[in-house]
Amino acid sequence: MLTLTEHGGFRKRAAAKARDPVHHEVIAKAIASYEKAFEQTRAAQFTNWQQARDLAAGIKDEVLARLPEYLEQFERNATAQGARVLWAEDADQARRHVVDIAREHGARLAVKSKSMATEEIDLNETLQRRGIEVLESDLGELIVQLAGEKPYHIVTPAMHRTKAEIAALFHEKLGVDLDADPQGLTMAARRHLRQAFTQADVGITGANFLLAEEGAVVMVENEGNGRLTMACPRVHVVVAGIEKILPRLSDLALFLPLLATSGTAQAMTCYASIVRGPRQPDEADGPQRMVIILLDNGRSRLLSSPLFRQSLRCIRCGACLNACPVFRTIGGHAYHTTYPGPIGSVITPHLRGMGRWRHLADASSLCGACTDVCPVRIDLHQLLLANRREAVRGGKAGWFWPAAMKLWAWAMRDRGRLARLRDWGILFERLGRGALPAAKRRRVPRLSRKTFAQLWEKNEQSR
Amino acid sequence: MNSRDKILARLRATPRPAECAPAHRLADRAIYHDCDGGSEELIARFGARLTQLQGEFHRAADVKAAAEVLLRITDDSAGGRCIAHAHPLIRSVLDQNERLAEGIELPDPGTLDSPDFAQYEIGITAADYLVARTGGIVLHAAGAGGRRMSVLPPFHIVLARRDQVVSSLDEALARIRETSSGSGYGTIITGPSRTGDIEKIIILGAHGPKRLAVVLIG
Ligand code: SF4
Repeated sequence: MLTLTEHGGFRKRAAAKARDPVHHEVIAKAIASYEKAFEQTRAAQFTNWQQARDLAAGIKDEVLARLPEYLEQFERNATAQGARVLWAEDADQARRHVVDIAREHGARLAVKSKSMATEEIDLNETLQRRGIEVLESDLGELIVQLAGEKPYHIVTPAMHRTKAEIAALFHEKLGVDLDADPQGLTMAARRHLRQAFTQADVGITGANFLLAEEGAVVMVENEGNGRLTMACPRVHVVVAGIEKILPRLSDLALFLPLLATSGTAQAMTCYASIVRGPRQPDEADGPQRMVIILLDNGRSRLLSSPLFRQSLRCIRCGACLNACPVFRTIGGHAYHTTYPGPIGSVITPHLRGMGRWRHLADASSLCGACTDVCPVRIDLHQLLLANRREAVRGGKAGWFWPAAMKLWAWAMRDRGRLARLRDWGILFERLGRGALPAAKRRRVPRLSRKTFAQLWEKNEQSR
Repeated sequence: MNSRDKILARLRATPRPAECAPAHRLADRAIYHDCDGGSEELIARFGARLTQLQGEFHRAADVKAAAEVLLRITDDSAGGRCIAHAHPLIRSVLDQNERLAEGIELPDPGTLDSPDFAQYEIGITAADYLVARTGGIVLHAAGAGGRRMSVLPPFHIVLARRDQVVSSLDEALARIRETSSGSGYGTIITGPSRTGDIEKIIILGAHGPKRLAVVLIG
């Protein structure tokens, strides 16, 4: 069987989506509504958005500079609250931890709230293979789970689906009326999951922040499924990247509005829950056990690079995906990565290998729109450029780019050579411009018939 | 070495940047629009924000008036069962009106683990703080009838006193830190449960309460 390389598959998927007018319309509409609301929310709330970004980047940098100490502090304080803290070097260890916990409690059913860290480790597949049913409870996640897809976007997983498609899906899987509107569909999801929350043995969540000083897990959401996941089942399992640390509770006064504004264009999400351990002596209900799995999975490698460590500031707001002209055109599934869009193209080659994933660095026009919107000021487009450089230096970029760049460098060193290169180009144009693969889809620009010097001279004369 | 030590060792082995500036944080608060003023202004701000988010805001001069408000808003919820947390403030309101007290179950806090909350249409809890700038309600489980009472019933009613209104999230968090150090679960509720996962169309009542009302006493 012929399997495409990641690069080949990416090109194919990207090309297909780029020419899909329905996809274009759905995404353009969703992102336009986000952008309008974002501007309003930001202006209504912040007097100084730039300073807020500086502060957030500064706090995250401080965390990263002292990450081992903060993690130990978090572990100490979470343990004091009765939580168990486990560490996972990679996806496999993390999966094994979750499976062990589920087995230990004889779990048959796990209910989950949205979490990209669990997507990163392919947790659902693993649990299901072990006979543990997993139900996604976030509406967007439920939609992609029922459709057998991966999340399209890190904040709005079902962004690519129209309401008619979702109605058809819910009709087939949940027996909902075919002509149900979004209200009806949402209520169907609510009914579908109500029982699950109370019957599930294990609740699995991610974390948006880990507070070192409080030993607390912070989770934001709008639907309430996260709160139910943390409140109803006997066991609460958290899977969180080690970079999620914030020093203390008071930092939330900045990070909650920042994440809500950039993520969903809200001043605050409906719920921001702060959990410290399982049910405490003064509490009326809540899980008997809480286990927090701290996931490395390549993050320490990013931290060790002076240039790339800033990518660990990321709070997974998804703003850079929305801003990216490439993401908007090719869509989230083309990437085949847990994290699509600019941030995904920056970190995936480092987390999963430059050899297979270097092509992602080319999935950018280097326009810098991602960098402009990032609430923690990650220099995304510079890092994409750095990935291109790293791929070439490491000999992972194939022959074309190095050869093309050498030719370019050769030509740029001498005017005469540059003119000659242009002459070759014109010759090539005459012979076979129409044969370029790109010519089938768009107009190939023509090389100028005059050199810069000739144009300059002409301009001077006509003055 | 176990995985914990390996991860920590790897992190320790990475070169650290020479210095970082931690101290500034939010000290000057220059990044947000101001939200100051007397308590009446803050209350008005809170009410306006909550209403904007499609929550309901009611004011009552005293516990007696609060009982009337409660009777009215629980009445139009079509006879569903109603459960409340036996918090002193809630008790003092229920004591004002026999008919109200009859319609509301007030289980002993020690038994709150058992009720099947799916049976209830309304949950009534207290809160810790109301945040004027965002319209947020801050509560912790031990002071609000547990983790489930405020999220499982489709209608959540919050009773609070006027001195619980604070200007900003910053202030609320600072106070939480002073007071509820041992508490296990807290949540900041900003408007009724919602989702925009289908074509960005906002639908209320996704998994949490569809209706959220605050009754402010005083
Ligand atoms: S890189 Fe920045 S903009 Fe992109 S998801 Fe992370 S925090 Fe948001």
